[in-house]
Amino acid sequence: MGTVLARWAPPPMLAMFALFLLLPTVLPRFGYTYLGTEVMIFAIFALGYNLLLGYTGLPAFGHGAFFGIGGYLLGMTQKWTTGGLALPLVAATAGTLLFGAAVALFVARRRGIYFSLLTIAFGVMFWFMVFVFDTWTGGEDGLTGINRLALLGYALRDNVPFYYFVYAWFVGVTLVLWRIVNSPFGQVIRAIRQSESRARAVGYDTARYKWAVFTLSCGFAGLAGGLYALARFGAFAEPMSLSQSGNVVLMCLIGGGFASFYGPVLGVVVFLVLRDVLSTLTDHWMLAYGVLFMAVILFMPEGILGVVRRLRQPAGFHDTGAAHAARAEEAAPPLHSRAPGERER
Amino acid sequence: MTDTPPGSPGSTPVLETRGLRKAFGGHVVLDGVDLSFEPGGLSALIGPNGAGKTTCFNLLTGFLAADGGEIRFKGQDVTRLPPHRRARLGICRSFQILNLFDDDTVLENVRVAVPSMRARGFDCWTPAGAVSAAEDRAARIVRLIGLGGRERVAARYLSYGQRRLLEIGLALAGEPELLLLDEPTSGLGMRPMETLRELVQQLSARLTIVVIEHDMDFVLTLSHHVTVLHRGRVIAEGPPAAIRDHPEVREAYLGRLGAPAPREARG
Amino acid sequence: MPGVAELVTQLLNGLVLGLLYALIALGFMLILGTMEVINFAHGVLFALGGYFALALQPHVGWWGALLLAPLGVGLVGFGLERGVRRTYGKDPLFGLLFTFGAALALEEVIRIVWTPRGYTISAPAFVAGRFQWGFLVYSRYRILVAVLALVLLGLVWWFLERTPYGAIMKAGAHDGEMVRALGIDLGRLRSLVFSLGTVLAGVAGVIAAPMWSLKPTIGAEAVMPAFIVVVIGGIGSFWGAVLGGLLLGTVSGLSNLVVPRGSILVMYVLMAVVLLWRPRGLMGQKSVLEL
Repeated sequence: MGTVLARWAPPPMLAMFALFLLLPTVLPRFGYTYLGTEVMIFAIFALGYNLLLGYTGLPAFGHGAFFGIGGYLLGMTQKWTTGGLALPLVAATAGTLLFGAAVALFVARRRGIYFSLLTIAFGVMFWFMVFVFDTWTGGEDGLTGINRLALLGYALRDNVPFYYFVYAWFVGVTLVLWRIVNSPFGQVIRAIRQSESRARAVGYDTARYKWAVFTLSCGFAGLAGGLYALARFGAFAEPMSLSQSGNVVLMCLIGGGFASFYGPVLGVVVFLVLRDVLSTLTDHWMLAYGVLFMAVILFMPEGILGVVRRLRQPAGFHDTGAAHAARAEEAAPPLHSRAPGERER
Repeated sequence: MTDTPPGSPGSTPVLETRGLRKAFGGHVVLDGVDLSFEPGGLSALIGPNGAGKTTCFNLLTGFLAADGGEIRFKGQDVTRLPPHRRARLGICRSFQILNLFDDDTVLENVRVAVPSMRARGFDCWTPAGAVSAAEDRAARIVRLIGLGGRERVAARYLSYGQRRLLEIGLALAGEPELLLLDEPTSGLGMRPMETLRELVQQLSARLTIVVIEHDMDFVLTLSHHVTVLHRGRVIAEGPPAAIRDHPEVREAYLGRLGAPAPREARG
Repeated sequence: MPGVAELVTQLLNGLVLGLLYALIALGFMLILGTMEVINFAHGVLFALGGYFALALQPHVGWWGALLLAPLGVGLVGFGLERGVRRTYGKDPLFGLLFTFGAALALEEVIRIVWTPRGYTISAPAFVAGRFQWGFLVYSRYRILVAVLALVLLGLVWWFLERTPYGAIMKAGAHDGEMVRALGIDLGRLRSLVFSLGTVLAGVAGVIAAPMWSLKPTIGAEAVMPAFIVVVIGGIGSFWGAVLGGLLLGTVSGLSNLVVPRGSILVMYVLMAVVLLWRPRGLMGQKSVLEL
């Protein structure tokens, strides 16, 4: 039983699930149920995105576009074809996956800055397309009139039932991603981040793997975007802008996406809470936000969980004794040296 | 795997090149290099710095594209194959500058290179540790290279000598028929050097090894065939004893001093 | 069916635009090539050039502003580089993100200081009005823009190809270790390059300002074409940036005739087409940034 649980949902994950399960008992008092829903939606986005950024080391900078595309696909499917909930969500996820697969063909052979540059360009391209094809997308007004239908007798129009609807997806996505990162595929993409040349030297066609992980991350982005459109009863271009694409990167970074599977979730929480706080404090919160960005990069690039990990580990040792092996096990192993079944720190 | 004794004539070369050329801008690094390695045993590729040895390895493994000439592995033309395809065919290399997966553990490093893991690279569901064939083979290799007991240590925390051994382990993991080692003894202390010598001797009975080396002691005592590269060309090849006394080789290393043959002891 | 005069006008517009794009892209690419940093703030520095000119013009005239405003922008760039330099040697993502944050902050600073309203800057008196040649009537100012852009491009080319500093810059892009070994202060080199790159953006901003209305968002609008030009032209190539800029400018200018709303999209289609045909850009070199 212990190993089964470890394979599927280790203790920290269960704690996280429990926390989000219980939040709606506290949040409505402050009128914050919607914020909780928003956190989970962006957590889905960020966790999927971190496969690309934190695990494979590919800094894609236009992923907001896929988030937005997911929303529009959901809206278009719901309004013009079937209505309903399930099919539009499937269309959002699958459709965005296909868009991602197409873009990935262009970018999979690049890395580093060239890769980032291209992802930026494609991201902004999709953003412009939304305005150009405004008969379909509603242009600046957005694609409104999206419905949250009832599910199993619960009116999803209400905040709390919708929260739990999103919660179900959040749990599902987290479980799936945990399997992915601990699978052989997960090992390969981690290898690519650490040394792409070595990964090739031992026999992996890294371009194909990069294509695959990019596409996968777009699928998750599309799902999150679809859920977001349901949340806001409409799909809009705003999440597709360049600065929103930068946001998801910052979310992953702040929380410690390079250091931990859970980094993105923490980052989303910090980010959204901070955003709400800052925007009530000042009109010029954009300035504070930009400065925060710079500060994190300069002083805390490994993110919160990265700092936590660093503090719990002895500073760089160089010890060859076997005793060291025992010590290394009990020190928090990095993201990358944990086999399923080992405890997450 | 070979049934002809190492270096015996008449066996098809496991690797040969003809007229291999490589230039960077106007600078010609390899100028028509013909190499031939018989199956089995240990061959050494030596030459002064700048002779083109690592470039040669890069061409052999596909990390650089040749400007001219051809490369044949067991008779098959591999000149245009990308590195990952050559690795899968059985050509594996270690790097001169350590190229490990630093954040992964020793076991994870080796495991990802193992063919039974490679075959399921796109498996997104099975826990990696549950692929027992890969786990077993990786564990065996780790013991073979002398890192038994350190499976769970992250590569970045190993000593330099241990990292050098892991570097070779990664190349071994792929079950190669041709193992290319680029300066494996570089900077090694005495103990890891011993481990390495034993390892290489063991392996050379089972597969073909080509080593780039500067450590003449290593070359002269362990290899059965030496090829000397100088300024992008092969200037001599043959058994170690012949090479040691070869006038052109001495000149290449020492200039026109006529001094005794190069002999370095690494400590 | 557009008449010949209209066609020629749009073509000329496209060329002028293209020269501006080339100028912006060049500054961007210098920074990218030497330090592997995507300078997200490049667009907002372009905007700053225009705003500084707006502030200086009443005091020092148009030519004075043309000289001083870019220097001001270069100063801001110099300050920016001090922050970016802490990210050297780490994942290039960090440099990118740093400049991203800086771009957001600076744009907001512009909003605070100058308010979000749009300003118009008028062209200097001696190039007001139109130039006539046969059936062709064209804005005199735009001709000046083209001339200035050409002069500046020429200066940059001369700097890169004919001075030792330029050679060092190009060497620094390829082999920082070697440059350091030769005794050249890499830190100062990078400061210089970054400042130079931002000065170019500032100059472009000054000369472009009278052509369009000056708002805080023009920075974001200017930075995208710079990216596309670099992708199309190829990283690390001077002529690639020039060619890419001209290509982009003319294509988007001409597409204004045919598909007015989609002219921005046409830029991306062009980019996709070029990438399919030449994955490294028209004149790009193989770099460590790809396999």
